[in-house]
Amino acid sequence: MVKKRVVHEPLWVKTLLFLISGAFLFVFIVLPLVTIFREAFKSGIAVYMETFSDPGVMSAIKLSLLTVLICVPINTFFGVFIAWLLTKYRFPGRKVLITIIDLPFSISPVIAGLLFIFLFGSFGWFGAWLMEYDIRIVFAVPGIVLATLFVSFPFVARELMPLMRELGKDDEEAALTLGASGFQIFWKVTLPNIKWGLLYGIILTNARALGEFGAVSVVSGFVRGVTTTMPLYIDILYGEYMFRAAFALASLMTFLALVTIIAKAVLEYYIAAQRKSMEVKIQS
Amino acid sequence: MNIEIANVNKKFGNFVALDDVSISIPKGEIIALLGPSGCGKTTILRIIAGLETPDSGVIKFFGEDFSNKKIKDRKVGFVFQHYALFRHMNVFENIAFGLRIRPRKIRPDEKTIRENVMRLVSLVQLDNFVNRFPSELSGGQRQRVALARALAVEPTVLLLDEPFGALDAKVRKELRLWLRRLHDEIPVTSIFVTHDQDEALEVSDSVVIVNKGKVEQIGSPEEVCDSPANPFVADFLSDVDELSIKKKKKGLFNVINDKRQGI
Amino acid sequence: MDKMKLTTVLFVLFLASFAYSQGKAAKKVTLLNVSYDPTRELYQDYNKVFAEHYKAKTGVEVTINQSHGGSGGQARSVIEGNQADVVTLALAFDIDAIGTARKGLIADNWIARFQQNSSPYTSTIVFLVRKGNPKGIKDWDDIVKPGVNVITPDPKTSGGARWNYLAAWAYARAKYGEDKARDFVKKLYGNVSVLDPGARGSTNTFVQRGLGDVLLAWENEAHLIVKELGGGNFEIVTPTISILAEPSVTYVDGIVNKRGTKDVAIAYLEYLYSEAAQRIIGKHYYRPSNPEIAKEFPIFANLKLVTVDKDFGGWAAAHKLHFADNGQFDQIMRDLKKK
Repeated sequence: MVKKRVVHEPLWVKTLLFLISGAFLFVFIVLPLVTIFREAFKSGIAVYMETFSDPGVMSAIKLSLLTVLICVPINTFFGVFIAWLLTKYRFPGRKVLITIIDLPFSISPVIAGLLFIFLFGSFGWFGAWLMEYDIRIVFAVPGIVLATLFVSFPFVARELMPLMRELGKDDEEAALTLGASGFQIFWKVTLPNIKWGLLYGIILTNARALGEFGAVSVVSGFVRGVTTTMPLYIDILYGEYMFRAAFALASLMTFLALVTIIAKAVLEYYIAAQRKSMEVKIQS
Repeated sequence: MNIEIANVNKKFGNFVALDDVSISIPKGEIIALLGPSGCGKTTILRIIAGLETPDSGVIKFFGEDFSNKKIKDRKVGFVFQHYALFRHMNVFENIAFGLRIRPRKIRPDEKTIRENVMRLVSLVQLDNFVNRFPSELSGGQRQRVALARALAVEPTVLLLDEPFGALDAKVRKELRLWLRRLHDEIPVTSIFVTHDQDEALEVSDSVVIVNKGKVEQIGSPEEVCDSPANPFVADFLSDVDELSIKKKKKGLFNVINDKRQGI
Repeated sequence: MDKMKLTTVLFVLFLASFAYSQGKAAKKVTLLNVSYDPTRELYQDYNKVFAEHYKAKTGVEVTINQSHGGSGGQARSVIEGNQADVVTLALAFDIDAIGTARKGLIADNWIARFQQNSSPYTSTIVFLVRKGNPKGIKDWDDIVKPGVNVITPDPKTSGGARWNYLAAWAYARAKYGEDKARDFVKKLYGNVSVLDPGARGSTNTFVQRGLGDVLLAWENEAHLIVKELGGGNFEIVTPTISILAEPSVTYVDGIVNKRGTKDVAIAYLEYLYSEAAQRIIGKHYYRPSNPEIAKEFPIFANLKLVTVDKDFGGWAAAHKLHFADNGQFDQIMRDLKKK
């Protein structure tokens, strides 16, 4: 066999790879997205807008947004905190903590939902106590928030841990010697260094919090207009043969997802612009 | 007045990093902590900075017991082997950092900060690079920024951890002389860590030779070369070219370094 | 900068979501009706009419929240703490289960509290086939033939599914005798390709996804599909024997006493027996339990109907024998898996 020193792939290989990946992306991502919008608008704009005059739909949107508004900041904060803790310090139980962080990934969302029933349901660990004080967690909004918090937690932490490990602690130590307080170090040194990893983690958290179905469906109780998030309500609409409405709501969710991606691009632009503004005029 | 560390011990787990180390550093001198890898010299430096705490022993700055003082209260300047520049800030912002983060009460105004920073920028000969970001600088340039940054907060002692270790041989040699010159202009007490014998002997006023957590000998470069205290020291300094060192040191004071670029 | 402030704001938001859900009960009278799968449209209509009626009568504004799902699953959620004021489930047994699991949540004699054993509407099981009935299905025997694909939900979670199962068993017992009944039912489930958790899911599978030759459906679902949703592509085939399904309604004592909604709940359930409500019931293809009103809806075919009480010794016995763990259904499924 003659050994050829191939420096670049031949054109046909490149074309083939391109076509295969293009086809894959098209079929599994572009086509479904386009279908959602097509089905949503199939009967015209009037029918599409009618969906959003349904009070059940509006309450589902509000509940989903409320859940995201609570879960994303909390998980971001604790994600950063835990990533910091795990990469900068050594302590007994560290490895256990790392495994626990991955728990929401490894168990099925339905099981995650059941966990909350086992904790807060009337026969759960806290059941009797909760009933006595008439505190409602499962089958009410707090349960939905908790379940969503659980399943969307790992993203920020897992994005940041390898990043922070690689960055090391030199920068932070330098800032320490220059007299910076803990908060100043975090805000001016650590945060800018991790910002892209953090942003990506936030986007993933947001996506999961908005789109979660399994865990939420278990703790929800499906009380329409009260404990139905957008994904749950889409399921309801579909089950009632209201396909236009189901796809209309789905198109809204898709749109929200696109908005987060656009927000990321805007942020990139903004940060680059900030760089420019730091320039100092040198006097000759 | 000086920096003193007395009877310092430090263990990492079962590993003895420092064993009853005592060093006294006169004010205004440059001293080198010299020894093979893993001998504990960086640990000594970090303990002086406050980045590590000793298991036992005392650290005194100018007579005052600093053993329990927080890092930022010690007013030390630290230069890292891998620069540790803030990558999202340009040269100016990096150097200005220590001044800008001061609490409002003792923070100088923007004009003063600018003056100080630009003065340091000139001192390290990076006037045309003030708006560059660390990723746009060479290794030597980055280390000069790191030095300027450390000096901006007017530290009482300057600590350098293998400052030229990440640079190539030619740049190392040039920066070594440059550092000596800088110290003549700004005679802040300086302690630097190195495993390079030539570097230690050329730059420093005194050398502390460390091995396996113990201080083997302290003395001027001539002393340790002419009268090594024990076989280890003798062996460690065995391939040092004494004559050339003496020549370089003399020549340093006669040669004015006009290089303004390229280091 | 204000991480403290941010944290406080978030914590307050979290508490607010608590208050939001608790507070809902205090502002106006709300009832939660936990129901089973196919009654969505029925209660949507009924709730509107009842609210108007109740407001006119007492001046109180009532909002009724609905929850729908497989009857067994819905019962379990009430057991686990879903605070239903009323439950309107597929079978009395599911309601009994709630009272058994949580003592005192529902009074033991609940079934006698409303007329006709607390069943304001009844239904039965029929077959839904595709237009033209290509497989020529006329009765139960036809659907156990090899090559016929049957769609029916899972009896472990769906109340409707249990009615389906017992109807099949009743037919087999009548035609072939008790000892052949099990084999008959086994053949039936051998022909089932998809076992959805709820009746509505099965309907979806048959109608939307186009799977299966015959759907064992609630009569009301079948009519709904033929008349409104199926686009004219389906027909109803009425078997010779079927089972009288008596979905039951009641209020949940433990909840209504605590929430002070007992009067409203009773009014809500009683109104189901009123003429206006019975007509709504008929309109949604349920058999009104009021025989006079029932006459106004001739579409309900007459067929031989067995009942759980008379022919299966009551739900408790039927459940124990057929649907409990390791009961007949579990054994049938195990046998089928072995093949």
